[in-house]
Amino acid sequence: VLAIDDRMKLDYIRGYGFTAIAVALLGRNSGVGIVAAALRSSFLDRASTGMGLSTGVPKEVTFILQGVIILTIVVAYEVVRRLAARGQLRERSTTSVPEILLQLFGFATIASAIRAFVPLYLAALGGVFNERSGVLNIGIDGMMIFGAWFGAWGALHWGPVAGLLAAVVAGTLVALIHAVATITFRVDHIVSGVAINILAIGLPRFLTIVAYGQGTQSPRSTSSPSSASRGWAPSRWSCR
Amino acid sequence: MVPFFNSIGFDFRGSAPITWFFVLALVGALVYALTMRCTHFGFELQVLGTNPRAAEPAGIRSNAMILKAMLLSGRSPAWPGCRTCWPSTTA
Repeated sequence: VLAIDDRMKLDYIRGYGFTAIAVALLGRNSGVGIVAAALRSSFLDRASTGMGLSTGVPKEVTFILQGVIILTIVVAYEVVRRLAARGQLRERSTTSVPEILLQLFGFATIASAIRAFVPLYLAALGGVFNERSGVLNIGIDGMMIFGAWFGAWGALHWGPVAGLLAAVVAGTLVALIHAVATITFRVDHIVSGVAINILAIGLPRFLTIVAYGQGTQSPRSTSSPSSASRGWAPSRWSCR
Repeated sequence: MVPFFNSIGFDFRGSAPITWFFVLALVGALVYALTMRCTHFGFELQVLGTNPRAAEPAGIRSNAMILKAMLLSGRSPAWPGCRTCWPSTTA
């Protein structure tokens, strides 16, 4: 999150978790499947932004289109599976999906989609682990926000390695709270997940106010991409 | 080693399409596949997810397995939070 304007912005990561749940389900809990599903979602997201800018189509229309596309994929998957099961699917389409995408969109959109793919995929990977055990993790979005906050906080104060460790510890602790609620106290995992998401709306924002005096963002890191002499020096990662 | 990867398009900060966290995601996919296919934990997790009622008589401690799955599930989404907080080695 520090790459956006060199400061932590809580609004950047919000919403990824819910998309990741859809990605995990679309990918059928398969490692390769969620790669394809995450790439599809990130591509749609980035392409819709570009389309909105170039054609003036409102962002809301692109959200509707994305929802329709996801539903279409799910329904088409089931239709194809049933047809194949009946032995009626005799011919396969010769048109390659990557070829169509490359024809429709330029390299910039694909590159941007690859960048957006990474957080989506990692979140979906977490969701897949949970769904393999038969439990749907609704709280992924909250865990991402907590991970983002503590990761950025640790990186701002002690360097990138500490940031990475802080994010992992924060995510694990939030997952532990979720696990204790659902396993020990038998709380419904949907309710517990929603509670974690609500907690993630308020607590990081409050912590940001306490730590930085601002509601949704931290001060700029001193080691920014625009800094000409940026180097591998964790001691330079401090708040202004 | 890191400057070499930077020269071919890898970047810590996310300005290049292929970042270090992209590599991390691919490693994560590999670890996930290996965990599910080659480890006892992965096998038990799949059994539990497929048929929870059959898992208990088979000796799988469902609560412990769900706890482990949840902890893993919390760890992975936390990474994207700091995916771009690495300083680049390129000057």
